[in-house]
Amino acid sequence: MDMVSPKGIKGTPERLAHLIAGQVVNLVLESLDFDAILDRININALLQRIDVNELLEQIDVDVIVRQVDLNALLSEIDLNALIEHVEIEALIARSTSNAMGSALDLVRRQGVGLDDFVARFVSRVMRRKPGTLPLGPALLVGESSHSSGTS
Amino acid sequence: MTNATWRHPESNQPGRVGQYAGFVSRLLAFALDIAVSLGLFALAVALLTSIVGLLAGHSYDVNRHGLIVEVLFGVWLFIYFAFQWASNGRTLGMALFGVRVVTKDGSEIGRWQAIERTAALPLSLLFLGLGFLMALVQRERRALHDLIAGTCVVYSWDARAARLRWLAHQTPEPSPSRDLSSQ
Repeated sequence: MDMVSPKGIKGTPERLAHLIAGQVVNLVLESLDFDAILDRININALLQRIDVNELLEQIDVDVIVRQVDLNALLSEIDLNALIEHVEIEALIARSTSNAMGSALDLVRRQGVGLDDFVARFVSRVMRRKPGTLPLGPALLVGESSHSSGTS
Repeated sequence: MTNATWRHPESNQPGRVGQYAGFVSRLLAFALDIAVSLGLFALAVALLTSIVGLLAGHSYDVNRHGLIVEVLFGVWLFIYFAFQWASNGRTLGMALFGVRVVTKDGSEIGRWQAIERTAALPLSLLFLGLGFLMALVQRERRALHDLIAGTCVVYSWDARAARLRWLAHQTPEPSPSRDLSSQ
């Protein structure tokens, strides 16, 4: 909305018109029940009419970013207070847990790889036919499960 | 003895879960257990020696009672293995290498079966571990103490699922724009 500076108004009629207009606007605003108006507005329907993608396409983010004074912004941020709010311990625990899990997987994979190698070697030495060995206990892998000689 | 069948949380996925565990994983798990139990025992003896030395006012030489220490170590090993097998179906080393003890048909191991297995374990170690080497050639990869106690060792960890997890870690994360469009 354009604002009209009182300093820009010259002469008594213009000042009078300005005062009257101000009074009228005030009276109109006081008589309006904004809650009732807002109640009548269907926000969902309003939002559905907005094409967000088109809106976003019209926004030139680069221009906005160029206008931001990052140095001024950063100088206003209390980094110490920010760090205090970050759950560093939880972050460290989570990353440590992930690293431990990966290390455990690696160790187990190596173990299984060596298991397979030894099993193949023994099967070859004992001249066992592939698929003749049981895979596991019946309750866990089923009655008819037999290995292919690699596990 | 409980008759409940042990089920892995991911047992509906095809993989190694429930299959007979291999010799190397078992051997490494056992070696780790021996190392851990030996370390804990040595720590306990050192602490006890220090306490006795402080109370008695002079240093105490454990080597003078070697037989007692050996018997105590045997008892400690028995408790270490029997307690963990009875309570969890696996020891610390077995948990690390993703294997566990079940009955030969796949049910959870019971308390008495755990004790039986622990009691039979020294027999497997006799004659240069010949009983343990049986797991190499036996069809169900059962060692002598497994055959005596009616147990076997299976994988409780899915190598294939772990491989997929590892591959998922290697895959670059999708870009935010793709995320937005998919929602």
